[in-house]
Amino acid sequence: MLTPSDGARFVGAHSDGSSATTSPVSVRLTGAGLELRGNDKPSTRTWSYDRLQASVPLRADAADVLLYLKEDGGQTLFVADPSFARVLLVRAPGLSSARQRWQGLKPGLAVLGAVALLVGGLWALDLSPSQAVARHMPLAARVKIGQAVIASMAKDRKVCETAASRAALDRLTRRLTAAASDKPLNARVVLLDWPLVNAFAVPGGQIILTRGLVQHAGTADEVAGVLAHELGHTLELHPEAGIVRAMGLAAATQLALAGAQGTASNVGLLLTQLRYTRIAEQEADAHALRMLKGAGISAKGFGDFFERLEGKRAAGETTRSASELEVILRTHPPTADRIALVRSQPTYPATPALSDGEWRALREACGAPPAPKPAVPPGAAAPGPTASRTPAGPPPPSATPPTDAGREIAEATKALATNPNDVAALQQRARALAKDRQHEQALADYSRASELKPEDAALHYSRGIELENLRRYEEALRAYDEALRLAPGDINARNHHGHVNRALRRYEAALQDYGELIRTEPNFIHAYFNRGLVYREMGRNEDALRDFDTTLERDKGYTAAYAGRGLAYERMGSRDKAIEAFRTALATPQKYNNGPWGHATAREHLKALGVAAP
Amino acid sequence: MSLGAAAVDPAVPPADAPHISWVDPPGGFAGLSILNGVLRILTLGVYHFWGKTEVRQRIWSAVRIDGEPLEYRGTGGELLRGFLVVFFLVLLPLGLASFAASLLGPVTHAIYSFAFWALLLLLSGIGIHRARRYRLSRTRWRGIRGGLSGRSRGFAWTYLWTMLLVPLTLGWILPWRAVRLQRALFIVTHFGDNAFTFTGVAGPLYRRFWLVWVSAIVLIVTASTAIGGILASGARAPSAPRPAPAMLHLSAGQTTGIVGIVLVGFLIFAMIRAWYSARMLNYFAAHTKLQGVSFTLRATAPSLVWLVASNYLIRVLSLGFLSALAEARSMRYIVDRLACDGAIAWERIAQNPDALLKRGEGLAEAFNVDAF
Repeated sequence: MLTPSDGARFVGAHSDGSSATTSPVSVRLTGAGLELRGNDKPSTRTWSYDRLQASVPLRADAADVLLYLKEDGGQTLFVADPSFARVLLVRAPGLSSARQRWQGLKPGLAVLGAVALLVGGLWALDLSPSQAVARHMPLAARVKIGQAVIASMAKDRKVCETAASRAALDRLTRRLTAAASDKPLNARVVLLDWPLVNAFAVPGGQIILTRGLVQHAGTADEVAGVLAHELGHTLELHPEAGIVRAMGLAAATQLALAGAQGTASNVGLLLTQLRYTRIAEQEADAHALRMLKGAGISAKGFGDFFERLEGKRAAGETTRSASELEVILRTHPPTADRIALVRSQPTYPATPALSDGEWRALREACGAPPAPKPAVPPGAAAPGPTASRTPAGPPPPSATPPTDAGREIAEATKALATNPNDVAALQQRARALAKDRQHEQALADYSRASELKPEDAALHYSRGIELENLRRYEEALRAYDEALRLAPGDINARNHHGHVNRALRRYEAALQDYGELIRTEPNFIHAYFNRGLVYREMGRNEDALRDFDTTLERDKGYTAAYAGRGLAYERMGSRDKAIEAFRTALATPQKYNNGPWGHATAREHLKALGVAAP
Repeated sequence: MSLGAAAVDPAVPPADAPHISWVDPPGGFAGLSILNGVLRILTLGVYHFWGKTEVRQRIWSAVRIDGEPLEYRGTGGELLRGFLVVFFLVLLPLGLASFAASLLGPVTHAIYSFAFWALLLLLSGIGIHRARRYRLSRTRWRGIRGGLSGRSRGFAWTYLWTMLLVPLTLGWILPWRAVRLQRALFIVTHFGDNAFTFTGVAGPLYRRFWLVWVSAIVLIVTASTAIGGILASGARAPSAPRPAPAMLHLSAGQTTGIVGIVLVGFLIFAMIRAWYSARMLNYFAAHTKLQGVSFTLRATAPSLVWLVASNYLIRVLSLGFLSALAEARSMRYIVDRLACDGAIAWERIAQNPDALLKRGEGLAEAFNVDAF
């Protein structure tokens, strides 16, 4: 068959590869191949099409073509004619870009197929190479890896540990591991001061619990359930396998990308990990249920915790911020199946995972945990919290006539009618409502405002003040915590944090709050006075006295500190000194918003001591 | 009267000097670059080596000497084999050793880190040399091969010890080092059986380098003072009464100011640095000779800054998908500004007798020291 290109002639430059010179040739496409005829030499040579190689994958629109022979790379032929590529491609279609690329793609597609087969095979046969490698790692190496992981997590966080909490954790761990398997399982559990609600099993039989988890849990049984679940991971060597897998996948990614990283690979990596996690979670759950049963601990707590995470069981703990929940859900998805599995367990005789004392020790290991229910708040006779440095919170007695507040409330309400999400108006109304002692309503406005503007520390602080006014101390603490998280150095939030702890009679925590204020804000003298009050309530009268003295050294006009001194002396049995202190209090003009309290206390106690007030 | 003096205009090369030019391939580089990226993902990265080969084929082919193209004859398979060897013999053992070292004590880890970096530098030197040898041996013009003789080890050693002297000499060794490395590479570079020569010395480079060095110091001091001033003005503001803030709270104005100072300082330095680099490149070309004929390169500071900045943006904004386009632009930058100062007797250049390397440039790719 004849093709249109038959017989076409072109001018080319030929190099024989012996020197860097070319000589002109005339090129003709024939059925046998390219026929090259030298201008000066009569001899012709023919390059058959199947021996041809082009210097670049050939496009039909190429302006010129450089050819060489597969077996003799020194000889080249250059044809600078825009129509040459098109006619040559008809004869030698193997030189086209598409065909050349297809040749280059073959190895890649073969690798792709092999990897797909391998992954599919592992999946179908339920094999885990990483697990197999993990099983052969010596224990010492696993422990070292685990310690490195814990060290990296504990870098910015303290390990919460008191003698009592250590004992409680150890006993619970032993109870569960004794029921774990025939082999002895040595597990070590560490509690970290971390608000995140989570638990991690790390290599070498080590487990991390977070403060957030322990405080979020309603009962010790819930913690036992989570711990048993993590021990299940430990039994299955999931953490070790996870690290082996991560390293293997990282190496494979490096290999696949040849140093050129991309996002696509990371997504793939994450997906594999997620799928694996689901199966691992189910295995860990099965172990957990077995351990709980063997240890005689009710599995109900485990299920309760799942539901708590799902938000079905807000309990006394109200809600957590979404970000924290997301973290839990992502790594430990408590699916309906898992809850159903736990709930379907037949009941068996069970005892609480921890005694009340142990449970308290565990919850208080990090310092200031919320108690199950607020203790009865201190009576009105107790000295009120001192002034904040700036009048951010509402003053306890309303000095403003209600009409004023009423007008402000009406104004803000009007603004909110046009824009219900006006944070400034909400804030203004809340302030007015608080002035008017409508603390419930003020709280509602502040809550709404802080939902709209969750990063505003001042709103959380104001919420805390209203909650404190309503004596909802646990919630107040959390609001102050949030304010302090957003503005770590906030004096007022820290001060009120201390007030609430004192009101809850968590004196150690209150001491920590004021201690921190004294350390970071040495000029904030109220911290000394407030700490003095805490010491007095703890019966540490010498310490109390020293703090009141310090307060007065810094400010001779601090009325309430004289009264505080009187109270301390009175407790210590120094009647005369007490009387003198109370008299000085009354002789000093009222200063700060606890001044009235100072005068009232002095008058009352002088009367009780049978001394006439001046 | 001297006829010769009036006739020689250094800006115009003699008529019989080879003409070096750039001819864009049909379709350009953007489409190819993207296609390669897609195929690479599709094949779990394996196509990378074939894609890279095609890009080189097209870049080489765009470079013309007297209208005839350079040829790149490397293959994807060679590059893949080179990479696999480096991966299993170097990268994987290094990775495992790093992991093991991280479990040991801090002293062991420090010793390991030092050894690791020294080894990495040494391997980088070997990688640069081997990659150059591979590429030159796969480069042809009129069927004649390029080549690089000499041993990689010697070059790597020079590369390492001069690198270690950079901090010790506060950078003053840099021009001397650049000349030394350039010479080490070029006196062993061949086209066919003809060797290049390199006659450059470091002295002329220092005439510009001292300004780079001084300006770096001046810019750092000036920028630090200015940033310090901005921070101090913030600390005195009445809205921040706390004596010891745990973290710096910067206003929007302060942030803009600091970013602005850093950017302006960086840009000024880049211009001065480019002014030096342009001089260096041009000087290197002028002192590189083939058959006693030298080259003229007309690189300028603004064009060099533009090339580097625009290539950086192309790579970043395209997430690496257009990196081949950036590579082509770099090559074109040189080719467009390069001329040969005299005639070359092509007939006196015979085929390069060197044996060919069997594998591609795995090391250079692994340590990211290759340019093309």
